[in-house]
Formats: sequence, structure tokens, C-alpha cells
Amino acid sequence: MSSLGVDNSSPTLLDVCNLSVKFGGLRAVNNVSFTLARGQISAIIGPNGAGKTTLINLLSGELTPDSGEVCHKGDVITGLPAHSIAARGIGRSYQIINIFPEFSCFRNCWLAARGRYGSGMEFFCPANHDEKSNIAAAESLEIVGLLDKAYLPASHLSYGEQRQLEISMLLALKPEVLLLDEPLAGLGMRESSDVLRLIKNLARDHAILLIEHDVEAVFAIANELTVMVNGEVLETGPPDRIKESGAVRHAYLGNGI
Amino acid sequence: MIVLPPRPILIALALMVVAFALIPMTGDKYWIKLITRMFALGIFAMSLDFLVGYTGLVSFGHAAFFGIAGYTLHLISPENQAPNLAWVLPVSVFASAIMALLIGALSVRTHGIYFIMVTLAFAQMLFFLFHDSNIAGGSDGAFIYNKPVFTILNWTVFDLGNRYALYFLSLLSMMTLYLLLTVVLASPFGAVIQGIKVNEHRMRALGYNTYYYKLISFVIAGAIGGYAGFLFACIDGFVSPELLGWRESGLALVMVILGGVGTLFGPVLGAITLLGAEEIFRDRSLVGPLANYWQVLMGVFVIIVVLFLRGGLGGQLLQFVRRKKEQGL
Repeated sequence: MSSLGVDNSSPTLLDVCNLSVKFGGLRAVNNVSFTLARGQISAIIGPNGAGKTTLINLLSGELTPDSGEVCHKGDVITGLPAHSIAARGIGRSYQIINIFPEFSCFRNCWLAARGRYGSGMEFFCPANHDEKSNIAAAESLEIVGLLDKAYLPASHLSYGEQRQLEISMLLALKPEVLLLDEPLAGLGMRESSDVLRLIKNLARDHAILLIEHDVEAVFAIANELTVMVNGEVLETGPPDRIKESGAVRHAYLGNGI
Repeated sequence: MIVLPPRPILIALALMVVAFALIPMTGDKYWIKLITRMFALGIFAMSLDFLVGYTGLVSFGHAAFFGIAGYTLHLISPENQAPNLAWVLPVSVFASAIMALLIGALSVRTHGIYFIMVTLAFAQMLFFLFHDSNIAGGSDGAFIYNKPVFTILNWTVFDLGNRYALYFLSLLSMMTLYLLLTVVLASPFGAVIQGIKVNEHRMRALGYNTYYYKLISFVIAGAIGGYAGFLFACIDGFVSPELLGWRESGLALVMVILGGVGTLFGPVLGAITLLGAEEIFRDRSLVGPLANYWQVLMGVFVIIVVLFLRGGLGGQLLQFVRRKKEQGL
């Protein structure tokens, strides 16, 4: 029987090479390189201001790097606008909840699914006749357990549920690469473990880049850890090795580990 | 996405349309002309609401498209013969749409206050182009001597020189365009532009090239604004640079806000209310000597409505119906 774990023959989906960006005199991200393959959860940890979110913004097209290259399945995607990158199947979630509060949960996910399955350039056919997007939206709500709240306005959800909706929208987009920016921020214990289980399940057929402050959670699910500080990669490797690296522990993990 | 208002409001709107359909029976020239103007400006305000209330683009230059269609009608009409509506109307609307495409392509890239300023600047450029040149009589404006007639194979169906024909064409156009816009707003395109209004950044992250959606929305609004301008030019048979000016753009915004942003039927009520209020405040027998200061009265009226009727007339109606429904349950 073949194992369901990390498959070494799986293709690299994202290849990041010497990525750098400066904000004025500040090197927010400096010479960062890594690869991301299907079946892999790669986590980035580091103190505030280390450039983690900036890195995600560079990968998702919301920022353009000053130098370096991002390749998706062999195509250079550096400098492409955010909508083109999303359309290629690289989806991201946000650290700060970024949803459509006045729309229903279903509509939030429908917009994501529609962006993937067809354009919005259809003017006379009612939106709710688009079966494909309807099903994808419903499925993605079911995965995170929000299906029974599908027709509530997103603003009526609790904070934790809004985070789940955020992930649900990302799933409706059907990306291959998931860029998760602190998906556990502000969640309670139970919600956190739900989301972690979800991420672990998704890792089977997605490539996941995870930014997270919850170090214990990260060590539990990541295959690879990258420690960033001041925009630079300090150390990369499997969680066990990072754990043993004294310098990293002392500087960034505190005394708790 | 629910775009059509709840049934009680639809019924009220339908009754209003029936009442409007009966008014011409009085044969009162003044009223017919006034109400035709309400219809044309109602369409104009509705088209602006499509931009402001549903796409989130606050344009302060919407009159550009209103005026361009009127000027196009003047410029393409032969001097001694009535043109056929079947081609002058599409050509005039098309001219507005092209102008909206040009202005939109440059202005839709900007956001917020910059968008307001850029659209205003473009509209003022057009205003001065017509004001300071000899095109169509310059600052004096120009007459449309022969109003369009609608003929099919030598058979004249109606003549817009006839005030009843213009009245009913305007009423019918207003209803048709309202339904057309509700259909578009319920379509995938409508869902996307409403998404852009709420959170454009997120829409881009979901794979939508928001620029094109905003541009198309701008062109749709411009074309319908042009349709309104065409009808308006037919009412007086006269075009002047004021049609393109910032006052006209501002007036449309006041109608939208008065009527209720993002309700589509509200701005039509806003246009009717604003023109109706003007009639009342200018009437000496109703307000006495204050009629000399009717513009002050208008200002007070608009301030009161905006301060005390949150969401405008349309928003208040929607709230009222919702509250009644909750009480009934």
C-alpha cells in the first residue's frame, strides 16, 4: 500500500526564489527562497514585524517584489495582479477578517466559487441559476460546518464563525495552493482544533503555507518550518530539527517549549 | 441578492404608474410637461444609483452622458425634416456609452474622493468644450426644431412633437429600464459589482479583475443616463451646455440621496419629489412671498429629509414595510 503521507514524486507547485521587497529603507522581505509541494504544510514562524504577512502579500500579488521570482508550476508569476494569481489556483486567507459582512454566508462563498468556475460577465441570467457555483459554495460551507447558517448575513456570525467563513470562501475558490495568514488568530481552543484538523485534511491534496503564532499547533501539523526574523530566513527544516536549534528557541519561541 | 422591493412597495409603485398613466386625461399641458421631466430625470437618477448604490462609484460627472446624448440628437438631426427615432435614439445612447467608456477607462482606476474629482473634471471639460466653442450655438445652446418621429416603412407610429407620445414613451422607458436594471443586478454581473462595492480588495483576491467590472458598470450607467438625456432634450427641444454641467450632476446626486441610495426605485421617487417640491415652493399661492426664496426653501427641505429620513425615501419605505411585516408575524 502506498502511504498517504508526503509523496516525494509530487510536483512542486510553488517555487520561490530570492524574493525581496523594501519599504523605504526597511527590508521587509530579504532573499527568501523555499518550495511548496502538494501534500506539504510549510509553516512560517517569527516575531511580529518579521515580514511573514508581507511574504504572503508578495505571493498573492497584492505586493510586487523588488527582486526575486515566484514560479507556479513552472510559470513565472512574479508581478502578476492579485486576480490573475487567484485565478491560477493560489488562494489566500487574511489575518484580519476580510469577508462581505452584509451578504449571506452562501453569497460570500458563491462569489468565490463563481470567480473560479466562470466569470461574472453574464448579464441577464439570474445568478442563482448557476448550479455549479451553488454546489461548490454549499460544499465549502459544509466542510467548515456553516451550512445551517448559509442564509444568515455574515455580520451575524460570531468571530470564530467568521474565521471559518473566511476559510470556507478560500475552499470555494478551489485553490491548489493555500496561503493561510494566521487562521487561528482569536479562536478558542475547540475552534482552533477544528481548524487545525481541517488544515491537516486539506494538506492531502493541497500545498499549504501557514503563518501562525501558535507555536505548539504549528509543530503539531507542519512538515517544514521556516523561522523568519527581520525579513530574513533564519532557519528552515523539519520541526524536530528546528525544535532542537537552540538559537531559534531562545530568540523566538520563548521559554515555553 | 434581492433587488426587487417587497410586494407592498411593488404594488404601491404599480398604483403610482397607473395614476401617472391617467394624468394626461386632464389634458393640462403644464402638468404633462412637468411629469415628463420627472420621468426623464427619474431615469437619470436611477442610472446614477446603479453606479453609486450598487457599484460603489460616486460619480460627480454623470451629467456628461446626460448632455452628450442630447447634443448628439441635435447634431445628427437634419434641419428640415424630423429624424426617425429608430436610429437617432440608438445613436445618441451609443454616443453617451462611448463617452462613458473613454471617461471610465481613465477614472475607474481611481478611488473615493479622487474618483469624484476625476469624473467632475471630465464633465467640466465637456461643459467648456460646448460652452466656449461654436458647436451647437456655444453658450447659448441650440434648438432641436424637428423632434424625432417613430416611423416603420413610411407609417408614423408616433411623433415626439406630440406631448402625449413623449409622456408615455418616457413612462414606458422608465418602467422598462427599471426592470432591465433589476435583471442585471440579479445576474452574476450584478452579484460581482455589489461585491466590489462592499469589498473590492477581497473580490480581487477571489480572482475578479475588478477594473473591467467597474468600467462596464460605468458604461451601462452612462448609456442609461444618455437615454434620459435624450428624452430630456426632446421635452423642451433645446440643448445647452448646462445639461453637462456640475449642477446637473449634483442635482442627480441629490435625487439619489433623497430617494435612497441603493434602492433603484428610490431615486425615481427622489426625482419626482425634488421637482414636485420645487413646484410647490415657487407657487406664490402656497408659500406666499417666500416663493421669491424658493431655493432656500428647497435647501431646507433637502436638509430635513436627509437628516430625518435615514436611507432616503426608498430606505424609509423599505424599513416601514419590514417593521410592519415583523409586527404581523
